[in-house]
Amino acid sequence: MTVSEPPLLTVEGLTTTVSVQGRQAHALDDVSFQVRKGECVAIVGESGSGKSMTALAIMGLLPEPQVRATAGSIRFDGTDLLTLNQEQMRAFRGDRISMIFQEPMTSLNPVFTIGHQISEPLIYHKGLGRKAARKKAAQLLAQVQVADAEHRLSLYPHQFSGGMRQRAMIATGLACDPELMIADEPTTALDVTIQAQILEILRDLARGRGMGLILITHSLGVVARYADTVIVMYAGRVVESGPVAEVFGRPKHPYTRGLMACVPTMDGDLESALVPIDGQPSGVFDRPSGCAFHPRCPLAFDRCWAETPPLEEFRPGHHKACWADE
Amino acid sequence: MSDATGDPQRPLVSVRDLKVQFAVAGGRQVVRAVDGVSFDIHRGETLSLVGESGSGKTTVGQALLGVVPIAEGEMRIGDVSLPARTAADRRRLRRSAQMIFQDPYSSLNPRMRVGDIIAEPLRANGIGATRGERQKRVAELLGLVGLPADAADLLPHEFSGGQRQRIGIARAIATEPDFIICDEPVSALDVSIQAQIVNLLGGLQKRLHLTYLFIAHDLAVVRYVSSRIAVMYLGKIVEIGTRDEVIRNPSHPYTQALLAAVPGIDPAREATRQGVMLGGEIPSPINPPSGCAFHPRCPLAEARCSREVPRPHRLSATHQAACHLLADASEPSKG
Ligand SMILES: Nc1ncnc2c1ncn2[C@@H]1O[C@H](COP(=O)(O)OP(=O)(O)OP(=O)(O)O)[C@@H](O)[C@H]1O
Ligand SMILES: Nc1ncnc2c1ncn2[C@@H]1O[C@H](COP(=O)(O)OP(=O)(O)OP(=O)(O)O)[C@@H](O)[C@H]1O
Ligand SMILES: [Mg+2]
Ligand SMILES: [Mg+2]
Repeated sequence: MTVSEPPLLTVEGLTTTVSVQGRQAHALDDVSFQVRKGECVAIVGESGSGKSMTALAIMGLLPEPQVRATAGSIRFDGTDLLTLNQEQMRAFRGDRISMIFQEPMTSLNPVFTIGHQISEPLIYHKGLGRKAARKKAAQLLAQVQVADAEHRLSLYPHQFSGGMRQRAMIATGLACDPELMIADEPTTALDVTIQAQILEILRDLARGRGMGLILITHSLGVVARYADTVIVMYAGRVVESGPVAEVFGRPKHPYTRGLMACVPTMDGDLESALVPIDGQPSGVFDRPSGCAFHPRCPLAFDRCWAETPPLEEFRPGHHKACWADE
Repeated sequence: MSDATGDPQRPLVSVRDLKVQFAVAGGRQVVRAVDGVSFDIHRGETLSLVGESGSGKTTVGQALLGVVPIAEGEMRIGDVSLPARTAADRRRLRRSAQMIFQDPYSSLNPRMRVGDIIAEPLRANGIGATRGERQKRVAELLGLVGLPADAADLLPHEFSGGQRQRIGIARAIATEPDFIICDEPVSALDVSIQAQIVNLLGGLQKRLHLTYLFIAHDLAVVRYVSSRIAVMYLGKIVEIGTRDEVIRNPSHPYTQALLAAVPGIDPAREATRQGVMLGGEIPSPINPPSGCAFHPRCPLAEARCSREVPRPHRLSATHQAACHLLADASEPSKG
């Protein structure tokens, strides 16, 4: 990974509009970030901050017409994905870009064997025959450390444990050797031990094959251990981003600081209680004016409810969107 | 409810050699969900149960509440032995032991007003003679968990996940229980809400002198809430000790592996960490491995680990772990 190489993915000014019962609001608002080859970019933020929607926009899977991308661009290898029609997008999806979903039980089809589901993208995108696809499927399943892979290809999703299902999802996502993989909370429902196994596999694949990886997670620990770059989202906007060591070492946005102060850790001081962030995030239709974080922010002053702060690079690679402490 | 014996040294909760089994496959197979578990919980303390999914944590809690049948063993809460035999004992137990659940969405009846949800255990236990008295108590309870009094008139879906968990907590403390089983009470919540609930549970514990059995996956949360920690694997406690003993001096290879899997938030430290990664998954309790059930995944396993079940080895007055290697290591120093 060299800095001069053009990024694999450039998201710029991405804005989505949600329409419900005649009301409209921006669920994502001016989201910008990049992903390079071999880089693991983590997106963190509380529930409803827009992490999954960002992923769905990249995949061309926004639930239209309720949610539409209304501004910005998503450039992947010279193509703005937002300008593609469904058919053109299908050629990318599962081939050059793939995604692992939050809940494997809903994205694996219960009536097909695991082998069938891993083979499918190989047949559809790569034109492999059934037999060749099945052979490759066994290799993929072995690669994500499912023991006895050949035999297990004939099993159905319900015959797999949660951890094994998640691995099967990864194998499916990797089938066509994608250049970009998006993993939406791939381990949230799993034990820490299995989480570590799976994230290790994903990170090694990113580094080994030069695959870009977008890792969506609630866990700051997962970010610290596995990601190179972190994007902190709040109420549909990026509030801080940069190299993980930089952002966690010198968090600038009060929201990032708040998140760091409220997570229990294995090495934090037990004498001082966890400090929760006051209040809770608002819904898409009742977002506060100006900086959406201002009602919960300890540093808020009058400008914060009047004007939305732009995302600005204030140290090399380190961006924040905050009016405080200029 | 006060302890009839009044002995302050006597644990509030005591479990000995508990076994819980489920018949599956039409009775042809047996799941040994809990397979010989013993522990005490003293008044005012929090004992956490940790371990991978399927290790039997929830089943231990359910056995204490009498909702699953006990195959073997003895249990006591306060001065009531379980399973409670008389109607009076059952009544006392219903009042003195409560549970808080993981899922703040499915654990509250969506058609009942919050005030009625919280008042239900009061009515069931004959607390508060009139509706007015119960309403007063509900308002008090809402205040204790940090919700406005007018929340009583609303339905659960009008609240966020964190607020619903507060409602569940208000319901659990309504009867002034001594003992609360918290089964993954914060796992489904966002981190900032999680911190609010962890702090709330801690505050209520001090204020109301509560005793908790805290069931959780997240060792970092467990570290903040526990007085003592018990680590379960396939229906057995493999290590138990004070919080610091288990976290600073984990002695069973399984505890060590669990702790190594938890990522910290210091990227510099994480980058240099050479984790001993635990491979494989927890096996089925229908056909558990022979000897030490952990041996197929254990990086240190020896021949005898697959043959003999290790006995709990005493590391201090409060710290025990069941591993053959520990027995060896301390043999020469035994006085
Ligand atoms: N189909 C939809 N119609 C209307 N609003 C939607 C729709 N999908 C998502 N939203 C809203 O858009 C916002 C962003 O949702 P998104 O699913 O991206 O959140 P998230 O960060 O992935 O949260 P979580 O951590 O809970 O998965 C939320 O406020 C959500 O309620
Ligand atoms: N009613 C039941 N019938 C059959 N098997 C059961 C039943 N309840 C639990 N089990 C089995 O008993 C074992 C222990 O389950 P338990 O729910 O206690 O685990 P746990 O440690 O709470 O796991 P988790 O972290 O996933 O909640 C599991 O193998 C489970 O499948
Ligand atoms: Mg999501
Ligand atoms: Mg459980």
